[in-house]
Amino acid sequence: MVLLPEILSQVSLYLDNESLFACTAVCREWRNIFSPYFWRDVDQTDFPFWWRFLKSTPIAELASLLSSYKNSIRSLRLLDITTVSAALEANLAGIHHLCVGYDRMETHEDYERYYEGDDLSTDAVPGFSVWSPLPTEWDEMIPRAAFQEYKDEDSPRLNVSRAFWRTIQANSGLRQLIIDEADLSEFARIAPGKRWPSYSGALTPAADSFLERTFSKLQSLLHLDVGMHIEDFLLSKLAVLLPNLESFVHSSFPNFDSISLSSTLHHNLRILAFSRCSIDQHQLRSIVKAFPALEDLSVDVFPCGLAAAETIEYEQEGILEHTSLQKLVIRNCYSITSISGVGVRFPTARTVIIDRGEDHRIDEDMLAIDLLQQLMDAFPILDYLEANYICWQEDLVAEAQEPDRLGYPLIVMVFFCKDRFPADHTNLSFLISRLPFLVRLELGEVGGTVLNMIADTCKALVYTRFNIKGCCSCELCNLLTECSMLKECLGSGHVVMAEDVVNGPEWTCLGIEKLNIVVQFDMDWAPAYTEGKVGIRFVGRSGETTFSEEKDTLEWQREAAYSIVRQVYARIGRLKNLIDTPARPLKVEQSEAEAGGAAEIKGKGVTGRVPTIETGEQGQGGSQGKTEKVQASEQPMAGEATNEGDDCGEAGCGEGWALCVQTAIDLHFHNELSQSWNDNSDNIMKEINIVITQHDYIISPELSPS
Amino acid sequence: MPVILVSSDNQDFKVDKEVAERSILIKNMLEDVGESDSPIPLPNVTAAVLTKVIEYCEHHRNDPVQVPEETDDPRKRSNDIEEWDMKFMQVDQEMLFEIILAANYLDIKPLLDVGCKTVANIIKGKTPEEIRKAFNIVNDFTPEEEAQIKKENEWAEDR
Repeated sequence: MVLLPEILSQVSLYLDNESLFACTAVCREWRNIFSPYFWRDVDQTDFPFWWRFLKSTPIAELASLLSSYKNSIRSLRLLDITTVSAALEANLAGIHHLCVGYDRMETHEDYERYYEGDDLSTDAVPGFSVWSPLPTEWDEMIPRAAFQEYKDEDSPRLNVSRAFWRTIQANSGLRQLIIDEADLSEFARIAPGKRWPSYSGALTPAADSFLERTFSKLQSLLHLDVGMHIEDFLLSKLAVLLPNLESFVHSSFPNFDSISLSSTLHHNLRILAFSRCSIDQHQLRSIVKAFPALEDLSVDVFPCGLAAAETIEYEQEGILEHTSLQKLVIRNCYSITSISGVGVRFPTARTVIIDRGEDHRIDEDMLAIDLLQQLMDAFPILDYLEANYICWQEDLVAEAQEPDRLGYPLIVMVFFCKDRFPADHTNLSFLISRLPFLVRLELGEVGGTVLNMIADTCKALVYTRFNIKGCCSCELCNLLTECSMLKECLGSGHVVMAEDVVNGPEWTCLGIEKLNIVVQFDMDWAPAYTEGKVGIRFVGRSGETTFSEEKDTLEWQREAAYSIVRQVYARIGRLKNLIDTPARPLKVEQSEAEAGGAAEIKGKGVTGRVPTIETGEQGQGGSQGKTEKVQASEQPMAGEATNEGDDCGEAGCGEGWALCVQTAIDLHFHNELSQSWNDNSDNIMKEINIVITQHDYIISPELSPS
Repeated sequence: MPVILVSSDNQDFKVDKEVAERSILIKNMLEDVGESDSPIPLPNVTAAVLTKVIEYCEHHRNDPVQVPEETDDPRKRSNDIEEWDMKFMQVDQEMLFEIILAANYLDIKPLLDVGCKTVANIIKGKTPEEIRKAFNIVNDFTPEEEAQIKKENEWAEDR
């Protein structure tokens, strides 16, 4: 029994390139059926299969293969100039997607991998048109004058450029054209001393009419991303040449004339990105005017603010409204002012991402109240705001007039302001106080005031991540009490004191799934909670169980400790939805605890902690609050580690903590008493970890109250 | 209201209309005929295969109607088969092919997709020779074609 060809065609849709290739070598029928599917998508970026195939096939053979399957090929994604030459030789005419370039070249290894030996002169094939003078009839379609002079007339390089344009002209069904020419300086850095390949050639001013002719025939084109410094020309003619285009990437220095740009409107462009260089405010304004259908705009904003004299033009015209933009990404934006200063409003925009970049060349500090006002003015229905490295004017309380409305509809705010301002900055508190609808909130470092503001304002909060600086036990408990919708509360420095857990109001976030928290226990507080008898096993650093002479004097405190542990556990145990997410430093303890089905109380010496200190736990010294004095001698590095830890990036320092609690609750006893049972003052155990598995109410038979 | 389907070897199958209408062919037939309780003959499907197909349709009777996938970028298609379907497809090759043909004939797109994915999973990772063996296919290339294929394979090989 055999499968029908139409069924094999269906099967081909689920095969990877390598399997498709194998199918072409099974029998004649399969070869006929599968070859068109294999050759449909020639994709050199498919590493290793296609890449290897294209690299190993001799160029003349490749050209002949491409030529024999030219009717099947719909998509060409090529990386190196040799392969491109072979493709040019094949006279392809039915391509829908053409993509050549260097997008994967990021390291020197990439260069070695993709481009080593990629030099036409060494690879010359006699009789290949790109190595011989091109036919004179090409001069009309691709005029020689459109290209800058090469050193030797009709060099292969120039021929490749011209053949490349010829191929573009021949494929009038093109839907996507991507030419990612290497950034020359980048290429020189990666491969010093090498010549960079160029497909499109350096075009001269005389190329204008040739470009117009070429692009006006590509009416199926939807996405265009060309390097070559012809984007300015194309952008200004887009409405005339390519009225159906939906997406355009401008990747060289923008130098277009803003007045002529906005004279003709383009009604179909939805996506526009300026990927490498900045535009100024005039240009931004002209873009807003020229592309009324834009939904997604990504720009670098030119750093300098708008000079007062230049605003006159805007004053006459008034505020511009763009009524289709959904998403705006602004890089190197020193403040929202860069946008609102342009006099543009985006009443439909829902997502704004502002990235100031790491480079703080100009600090244009602003007040939260101004920021909020400007956001409200420019983006009245925004629900997603991501802002990195926004600067605040320190110590300046928002005294200015309150904005008209109290609540801003933002539901997601991602805000990184790390080490640029105090964690408890009044501006941040103020901003949060105006965001009652937040569902997701990610912040850098925060302090108690901000935490309380979140708890008071953001009742709908579901996902949150922040690093706590200092001891904010009450405030964190307050947050868990006030924000009943919470599903995730992540970050570093989340330390709560056992007494706050036990004495404070009930946590209402019973649906929480991910929680990073450390419950700390101050022995001085213990006596009031004595209940029952508890036996506690201390496991020394060497692993042996030690009961020292202090046993009796410690007895009552141990009992108290157990009682408190039970109460803490009972409370956290109500969070039934906690998900077991492996927490790196706690892993061993967790598995031990789970394996034993019981809690284990063990001392943990300095040796155990050293690795985690090295990974840059931040906030360690500060966050341990009440026991800081004891910790100080043990971790002299903790203070310095805080700042260095910051540089690991937000996520890194958030996870670096040794003390994540998810299914296990990690209780730390810090007490001076422990000092007494090991006198080596520098290496003494100052912490006892109690690890309790989540669903095991009885900590351990051995530890149960009698 | 139940529908009666008759297999090629003249066995009657009584199934719910909702189940039978998983097949677009039967759905269209029922629409054309209107209210009628006359049995529907399926001369291309044997009783054994029809039993399997009905089992599939019973299990998926409440599935939402499939939205056709984008055809422009076929490589993005997922090869995942859900667990029940995977078990369902654990049949000998003869039956697998029969089910695929029946799904094609009866126009049951989701079943056809699952069948094709199953065949694709058999092909994956195999050399041409292994594929021939798996599907009992005779190598009928001419010596010239064979030489060309050999060359191409060398280029594709990992060296």
